[in-house]
Parts: sequence; C-alpha cells; structure tokens
Amino acid sequence: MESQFHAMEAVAARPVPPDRWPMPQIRKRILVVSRTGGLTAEVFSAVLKIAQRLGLDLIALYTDPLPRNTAPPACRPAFIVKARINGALLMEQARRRGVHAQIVIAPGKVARTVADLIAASRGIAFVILEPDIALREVRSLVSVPVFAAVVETGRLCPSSTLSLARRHGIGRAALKFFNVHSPRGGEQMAENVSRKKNVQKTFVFGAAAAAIYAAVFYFADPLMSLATRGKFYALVPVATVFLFSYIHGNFTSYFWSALGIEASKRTGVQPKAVKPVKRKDTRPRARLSV
Amino acid sequence: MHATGSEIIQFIDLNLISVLFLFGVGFVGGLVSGFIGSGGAFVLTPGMMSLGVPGTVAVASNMCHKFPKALVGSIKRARYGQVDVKLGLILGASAEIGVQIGIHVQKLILDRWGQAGSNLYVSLAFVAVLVSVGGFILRDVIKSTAAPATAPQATRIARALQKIELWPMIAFKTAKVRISLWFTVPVGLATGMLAATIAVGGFIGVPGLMYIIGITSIVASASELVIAFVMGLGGTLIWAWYGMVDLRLTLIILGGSLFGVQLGAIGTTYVKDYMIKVVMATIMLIVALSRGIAVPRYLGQLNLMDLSAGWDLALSRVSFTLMIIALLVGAGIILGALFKARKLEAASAPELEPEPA
Repeated sequence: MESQFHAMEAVAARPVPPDRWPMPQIRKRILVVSRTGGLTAEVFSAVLKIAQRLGLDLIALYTDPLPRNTAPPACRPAFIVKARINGALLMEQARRRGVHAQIVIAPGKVARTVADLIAASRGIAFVILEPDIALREVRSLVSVPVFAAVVETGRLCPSSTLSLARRHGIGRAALKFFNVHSPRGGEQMAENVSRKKNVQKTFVFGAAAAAIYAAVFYFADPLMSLATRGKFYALVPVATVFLFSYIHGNFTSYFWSALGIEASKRTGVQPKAVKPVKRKDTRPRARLSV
Repeated sequence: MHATGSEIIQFIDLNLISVLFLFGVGFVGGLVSGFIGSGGAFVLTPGMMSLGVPGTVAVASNMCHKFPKALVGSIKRARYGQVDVKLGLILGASAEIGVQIGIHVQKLILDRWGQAGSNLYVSLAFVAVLVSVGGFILRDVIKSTAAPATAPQATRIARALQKIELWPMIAFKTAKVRISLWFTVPVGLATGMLAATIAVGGFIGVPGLMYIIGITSIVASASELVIAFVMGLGGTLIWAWYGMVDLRLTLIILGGSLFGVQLGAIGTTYVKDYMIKVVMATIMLIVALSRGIAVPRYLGQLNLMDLSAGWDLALSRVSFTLMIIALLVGAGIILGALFKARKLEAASAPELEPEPA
C-alpha cells in the first residue's frame, strides 16, 4: 500500500502506519469520502441517519488529493487540521445517534485511496462520495456500490437506483437522501416535481368533481325535469356532460398520473417534428449588364 | 323514440347496487374504449335494461355518455401523437350519414317484422359482422405474430387504393397516408350503419381504417375515438331533443368510464401494435357467440322455432353473461399487457451512467 492513512477514534487521533489501519470488522459499514477535508452538515446528517436506520457503522475517509511530496507522501497540515475538526463534529453527532464511527485521514488520489481502504477494511457495504468526486473513477476500482451525495436534489430515488440497491442488498432508506450522478438526474427531479403537481391537481379536480356530482344528485329532480323537456332543452344534458368531461376528465387523468401510471417513456409521447429552417440562398447570381 | 317528455318515460329509482354496477361497467367499458377505440358500450344498453331502464332511455343515456368519453379519450391519445383529427372528422361526417341510413333500415325492418324481427336482424348483423371481421383480425394477428418481427405494413388492398389518384386526394399526416376521399367514405358509412344497428361502430370502423385505408392499429383506434365523438354528439342531440336522456345514469356511467378511458389510452403507449388487434378480435368473437346464442330466442318469438319460456330465459341470461365476459376478458388482457409492459420497462431501465468527472 502506497498511501498512508491516519486513523483516529477521537479528535486527538494520531497518524498510524499501514499495518495498524482499521482491521476487518464483522459489522457492515458505510464509507463516506471527502476530498476537501470537510463534509457538509447535510451530508453528515444524511449519512448518520442512514447508518442509524440500517444499523451500520461508519467510516469517514478524508483523503488529501494534493499531498506533500515526501516519501511516503503525507497530508498537508492544513488539510489534517480541517479534517480533524470536521471529523470531531462527525464523531460527536455519531455518538449522539449511537452510531459507531471511525475517521481516516489519508493522502493520495481519491479512487486509489478508497480502493485501498476497502481492500484493507472488509465489511464496507457501500460508499458515498462527496458531490464533486469523480464517481466513474471510483467505481472502476472498487467492487462495492458507490453513490454520490447530491443533497441539493435531495430526496430523489430513481427506480433504477433502487433496483441497483436491491441487488446489492442496500435498504431503500439508504438511497432516500442520495442520488446517483447521471444524465437522467434532471429528468428525475422534474418527474418528482410533476408527481407532486399531479397530486395537488388530483385533489383540486377531485374536489371539484365531487362537488358537481353532489350538486347534480342533490338537485336531481329539477335538473332531470329540465333535461327531459326536449327540444332546445336538449342542450342541458349535452352542456352538463361537457362540463363533467372537463372536470372529471382532468381529475381522472391526474389521478392515474399521481399514482405513477403514465404513458410509456419509450413509445409514449411522440416528439413533434422539428420544422426544417429554410436557409437563405447566398450563392452569387449570374448578372447580365446590358 | 319520438315520444316527448318525462311524463311518458319511466325513469328508474337508483340504489347503491345499481350505481355500483353502472360505475363498474362504465369503468371496464371505458378501459376497452380507450384502448381499442370503441367496443366498451355494448354491454351498457342491455345492462341498463336489466335494471329496469326502458330501452329507448338506455340507448339515449348510453349514447350521451359515449361522446364525452370519446372526447376525453381522443384528447388523451392526441397528446401521445396517435390521433389523426382530420381523418376522424372526415370519417365522422360520413359516419353520421351512415347512422341515418342504419336507422332508416332499422325502421323498415321494425315496420315489417316488428320488435322480434328487429332483434333478430340486430343479432344476425352482430354475428355476421363480428365473426367475419373478428375472424379476419384474428387471422392477421396469428400471421403477424408467426412472421419475423417487422414494422406493421398496410394490406395489399390498402396499398392499391392509395395508388389510385382519384380527386380529391387527402393527405393524413399522423396516419401517414394519402388517399382519395371516396375510399374513406364507405368506411365511414359502414361505421355509422353498424353503430345504428349494434351500437358499436368501431367494430367495423377500426378494422376498416387498418385494412382498407391502411393505417396502423394504434392510429386507427385513436382516430376512431374522434369518429365516436362526432357520431355520439349527433346521436345525443337527437335523443335529447326528444327528452330521452336520463342524466343521472349518464353521469354515473361517465364517472366510471373516464377512469377507464384514461387507463386504456395509457395502455396503448406500452403495448405493441398487434395487441390492439388481439383485444379487438377476442371481444368481437365472444360477443358474436353471445349474440349467436340469442338468435333462437328471436326465432322463437317469430314463431319460426319452438322454444319454451325456460329456454328463452336461460338463453337470454347466457347471452348477457357472455357479453360481460367479453368485456372482462378484454379488460383483463389490456390490464395484464399494461402492467407486464410497465414491469418490463422498469426492469430494463438503463443502468444509470455515472457523470463524467
């Protein structure tokens, strides 16, 4: 192992040689990785909640990607100080939640350091990376599931992420606060927002539909006498069903959408054809001067 | 039909069971209509009559629920890019003429052979049309599923008709077809005539669009909803002019059918083209069987056959039960295909690609 870890059980931890790195434990653990030396409060909170809910231990790895050029490479002092302070906060919060946590400070490239730590410390169920860490690179070197924390997009949980998690035996709760960086991220976020809107509209149109149904059946006798008068009163039933088809039709549409039953994304909505833009013909014209 | 006013017509009292029955049949009917473009309403008229609703009121109320259902279904499917509005409106106009012809024929038969003769004519029309057209669709489905998977192609007759340049030629953009108006008219007329006879014009309209005009079953079933809207609105105005619409019945059925029609329309985005044909052929053949069983009843009523009262009742019940079974089988196939396809789509969702560094 080329990289060097600094492990600590408390704030006053001191650097230890590789042969004293955290040894394999029976309990499963989550590895959360920072390369800035400071995990944000949101990541703290989310990771601890997950660890608490799943009953897992926690390892926080602070890896310095720009170590001092020594042999062996060592973390920059400022990085160590920052990581220790951040680690102390994490340890304190973990203690309050009854989660067993360990802090590891190590120099070296993130992906390599994570891979080394996983190899050295068995029992890591999955890895959560700080948002700005290259997910692809880490994934290419490790065999456990790797997720990137996207706290801003918050409680997104795409179905494919869930299926991935199920395959690896990770609970749903673990994914509730995280999302995998993906080109579909924005789409998923839009989907969630639209689902929320659909629920709201279901209630609005549902209430309106219930109201008009109640009104029709409450005033059934006068309405029926109007609707069955014939001649130009024929417009009464026709107008009534048009009104119902708008309100109840919208309600039923939003109802299925709110339940998540929507058109297939593959063959569903056909995109509108883009009209070709007519280019201006700028070629020189033949001229005849008479 | 021409009796005006509520003083003549007996409107039934509704109870919870009848409301739930109508809502449920409306839902299943809507589901089938949303999926295959029509065919959901044929159980409703006999269903309402079994609750004690007079025949004319049952027909009028059924008609009055059909056009808003078709409107909602066609709007939904138009959002999926499946509806050719121009085609639907043109065929709807010719279908209206077909309805008038169909009503005239019905009147002639009614005057000559009475109610039993009219019923026999309707049942024979059911059996003849549904067996021939349903059998043809089933054969097509079997052939197309046995053949290697290719994009659905127009039939030979459709291709031949599209080649004939007979003024006025009309281009239907969504249907991706250019054909003479004169070849669309017979399809519309037949649709209207069948609608006036057995109340489900789509059983000839959708196959006509697929096999004669040459459009895909998805677009055909979606455009049929526009035709159903045009025919339904026209028919409703006529029935309502004579004060025959029981608005309460209409709204209860509409309550269920709008849930169904939305789900049926969503279903079309998940299934392959031939699935619409499967559902349509299945329903048509079971309904044909149902009406075939009812034929001896009408022969008995015309004194062309000896049939005891017990047998008459039994055949009537078996026939009605088979109609409900037809609808339920169709709905079962649709829901099964929809949820199976959704599951497959979710399972085969592409693995999330990590974002490049």
